[in-house]
Amino acid sequence: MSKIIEINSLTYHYPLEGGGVIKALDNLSLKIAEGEYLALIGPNGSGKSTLARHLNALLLPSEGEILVEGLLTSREEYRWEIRRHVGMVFQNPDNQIVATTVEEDVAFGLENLAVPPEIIRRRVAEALEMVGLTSFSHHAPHLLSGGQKQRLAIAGIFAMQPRCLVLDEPTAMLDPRGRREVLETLKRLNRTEGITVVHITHFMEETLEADRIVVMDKGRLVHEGQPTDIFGGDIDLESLGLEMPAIPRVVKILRAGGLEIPAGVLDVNQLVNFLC
Amino acid sequence: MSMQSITLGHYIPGNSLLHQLDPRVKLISLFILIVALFLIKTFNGFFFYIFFIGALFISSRLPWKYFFRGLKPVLFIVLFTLILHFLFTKGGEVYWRLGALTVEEMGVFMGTFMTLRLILLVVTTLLITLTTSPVAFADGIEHLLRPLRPLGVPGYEIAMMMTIALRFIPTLMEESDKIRKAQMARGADFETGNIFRRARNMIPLLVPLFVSAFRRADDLAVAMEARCYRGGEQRTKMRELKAHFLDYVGIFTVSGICLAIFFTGI
Amino acid sequence: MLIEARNLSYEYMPGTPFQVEALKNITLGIEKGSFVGIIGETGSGKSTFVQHFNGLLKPTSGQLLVNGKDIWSHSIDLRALRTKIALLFQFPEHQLFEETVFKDVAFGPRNSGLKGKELAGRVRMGLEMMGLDYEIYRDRSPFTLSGGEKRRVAMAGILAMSPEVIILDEPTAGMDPLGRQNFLEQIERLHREENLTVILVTHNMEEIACLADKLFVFSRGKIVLQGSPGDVFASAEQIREIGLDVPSLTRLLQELKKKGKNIRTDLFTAEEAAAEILCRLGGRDRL
Repeated sequence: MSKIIEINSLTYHYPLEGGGVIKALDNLSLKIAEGEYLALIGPNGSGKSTLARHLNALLLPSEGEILVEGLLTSREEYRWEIRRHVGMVFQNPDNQIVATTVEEDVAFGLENLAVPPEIIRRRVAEALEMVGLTSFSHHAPHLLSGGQKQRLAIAGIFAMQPRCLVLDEPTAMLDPRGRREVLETLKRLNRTEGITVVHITHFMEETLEADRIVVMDKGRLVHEGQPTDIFGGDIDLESLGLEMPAIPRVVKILRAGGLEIPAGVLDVNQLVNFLC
Repeated sequence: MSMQSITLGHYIPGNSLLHQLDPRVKLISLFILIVALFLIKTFNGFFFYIFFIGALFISSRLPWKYFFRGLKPVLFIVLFTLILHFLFTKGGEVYWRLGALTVEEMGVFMGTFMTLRLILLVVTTLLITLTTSPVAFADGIEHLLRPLRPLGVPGYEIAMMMTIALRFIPTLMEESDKIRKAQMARGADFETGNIFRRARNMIPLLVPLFVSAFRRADDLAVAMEARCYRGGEQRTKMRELKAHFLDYVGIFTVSGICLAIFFTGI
Repeated sequence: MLIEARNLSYEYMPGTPFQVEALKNITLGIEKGSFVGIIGETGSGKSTFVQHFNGLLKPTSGQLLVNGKDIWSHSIDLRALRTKIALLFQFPEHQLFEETVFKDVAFGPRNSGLKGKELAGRVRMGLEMMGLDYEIYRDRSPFTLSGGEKRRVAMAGILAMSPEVIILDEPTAGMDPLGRQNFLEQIERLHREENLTVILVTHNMEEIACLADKLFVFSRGKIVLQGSPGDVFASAEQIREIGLDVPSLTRLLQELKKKGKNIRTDLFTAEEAAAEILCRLGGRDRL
C-alpha cells in the first residue's frame, strides 16, 4: 500500500517563555498508508496536537522531516499544495467556522484556492450532501448543534477534495448524538470516498473500529497496532493515563477468571456472541 | 440562547424590490440620497423627497414599527435641534414671547427644516439597512473599495473582518452571558453601586471575555490557515455580485432625483 | 426536601417572536446528601434547569423551593443562597480572571464578606479539597496553569464558599481519561466525606452510572425518565432515541439477559460485571 504521509525522526522544540525549550516531539517516526483509518491516542500533553499540526505544515520540524505525498512540508513552495491535500478539523466547533452562513463557510477553502464560482457551487452542494447538511445551507452556523458544526467543518475540508483528513479531538465537546453523527461521517468518508483519516481522541471506544491505533506519550510513539493488539490486555494503558474501553476490560477480567476468549473480541456484540 | 435572535443592523429578510437590489447599488444610492438631502433648500424639495422615499417604503413592505424603533435613539438629538432653533434662531415675525425668550419665524422654519432633514436621514439609512443583510453589506463594501486597492486600501481584509465580526457576535454574546452567570454564582454583583463601583465590578466579566476572544481569534487564525487562507489576493467568490437591469434603473433614478433637486433649486 | 421544583416552566424571550419554551412543567425533589445526575443531550433544558437552583434564572411559572421556601419570595437573599448552592459552569477555567490563584479562589468567599485569616483559611481549604498545594499554587497566575489545573482552581473557588450543594455542569468535558477519573474520584470523596449534596449535569452515561443514586433524564424541556441508574438504563431504546447512550457494560448485560441468561443488569463497573458473568455463565457452558 502506498504511503500518503511519511514522518522520519521528527523532533519539535517549543521555545519556553523564560528561555529554554521543551521537547514536544521526540524522534518520532510513523508512516500513514493511503486510505487508512488511524486513531491517535495519548494523555494530555503527549504531543498529539503538535504532531497533527505538523501533518499540514502548520508547524515545521525542528529536526527530521515529513513527506506528504512525497512533498517535504518544510519547503515553502509545497505548503499550499500540502494543505489542500491534508485538511484539518479542530476540537472547538465554534472557533473554526468563518462565514455567516453554512454554504459560505463550506465555500471558504475553495475561494482561497481561487476555484471558479460555478465549480465552488457544485462542490459545496456535494459536500453538504455528504455530511447531511443540505437543508441547512442558508442557516447561520451559530444556530447549529455541536455535531452539526463539526460536520460543517468536515464539509468545508471535504469540498477541497483532500486526500487525508486530520481531526484533533473532534468529539471532545459533543454530546452522544453529536459524537455518533461525526463518527458516522468519518467512517463514510474513509470507506466510500477513500480518504485517509487521522483521528485524535480521548474516547477509547471511538478507536475500536480504526485500522490502526498509535499511542503517544511524552512526545514519543510508544505503541502501535490494531485495536485488538492495543486493547488485548498486554499493554498497560492506565500507567499512560489512558484507559481500556469497558468491554476489553471485562474481557481481560474474564480471561483472568478462566474463560478462554479469543483475541479480537472488543465490542458488545462480539462478546455476547462468544458467551451465548 | 437568549442572544441568538439578535440580528445586527436589524436586517429584516424579505424579497421586495429593495431587498433584491445589488448591495453596491444600495450603498451608492444611500450616499447620493444623503447628498440630495443636504442640497434640498425648500419644503417642496422635502415633499418631493418624502414622496420618493415613501413609495420605496411601501414597496419594501417593512412594518412601521421598525422605523419608529430605529428613530428612538436619535429622538433626543431631534428634539434638541428643534428646541435650539426655536429659541435661538432669530429673524422675521415674533410668534411668541415670554420675558427675554422669543420664538420667531426664522427659528420655526429652521427648526422644522433641520428636524425633517434629520428624520429623513435616519429613515433613508434604515430603509437601506433593514433591507440589506450584513453579509451583502460586507460584499458591497469590498467591491466598492476594489478600485482603491492600488492605493493600499485593503478592501478584502475589511470585508473579511466584517464577516468574522458578524459571525462571532452571537457566539461572544452567549459567552458573556455565561461568564456573567458564572461570576454571579460566585456572588458577583453587577447590578448595584455607583458608576465607578459598577465599572470595577465588570472586571470579572471583561477579563475572561477578552481572554476567550483572543483564544478564539487564535484558533480561528490557525483554522483559516489550515484551509489555505492567505489574504484577499487571488481569491474567488462563490457568489459574485452581478448588477442586473433593475440595479441600473435604480442607480439612474436616484441620480436623476439628486440632479433634479440640484438644478431646480427646490 | 433540600431543593424542590414545582410545576416549573421557563421560556426564553417571552412575548417576542423568538419565544422558546425551554422547560415545561418540571416537578422534582432533591434530598440532602444525595448524588443526583441530570442527564440529557445539548439543548434538552438540563443546564437551563439547574440555573434555577441558585436563582440565576427565574421561572416563568411554577416555583423553586430551597428548604421549603420559594427562593423568589422577598425574604430570600439570592447572593447568600448562591454561596450555599454553588454552581460550576461548563469549562469553568474560562471564568478565571485574577492575577493570582489565591485572589481568584478568594473571589467567592470575599463576596460573601469574609476577610483576613478566615478568607485565607477558606482558600486553603478549597485548594486542598481539590488536591492542590496551597503554598505552591497561591501566588501563581491562573493563566499559566495547565488546563487540568485551571479547572481544579475554578472548582476550588466554588468549594471555598463552603457550599452545601455543588452543581457541576459537564465538569469533565475535554479532559483525558486519567484527568476525568481523578476529578470524579475527588468529587466522589467530597460527597462521601464532607456530605456534600452533588448534582452532576452530564451527557456522559458511563461516568454518571457508577456515581449517582438517582438520575433525571431530560429531553426537550421535560423529564422523561427518572430513578436509579439501573431503572433508567432499563429503557435503553428510549435513551438512544433522545440522543444519549447506554453504557456499554449495561448493554452487554442487557443483551445477555435478552438471550435468556439469568443475570443482573444494574452493575456499572467492569469488575462487578465480569464477576457477575463469571458467576452466572462461566461455570456452565464454557469452562
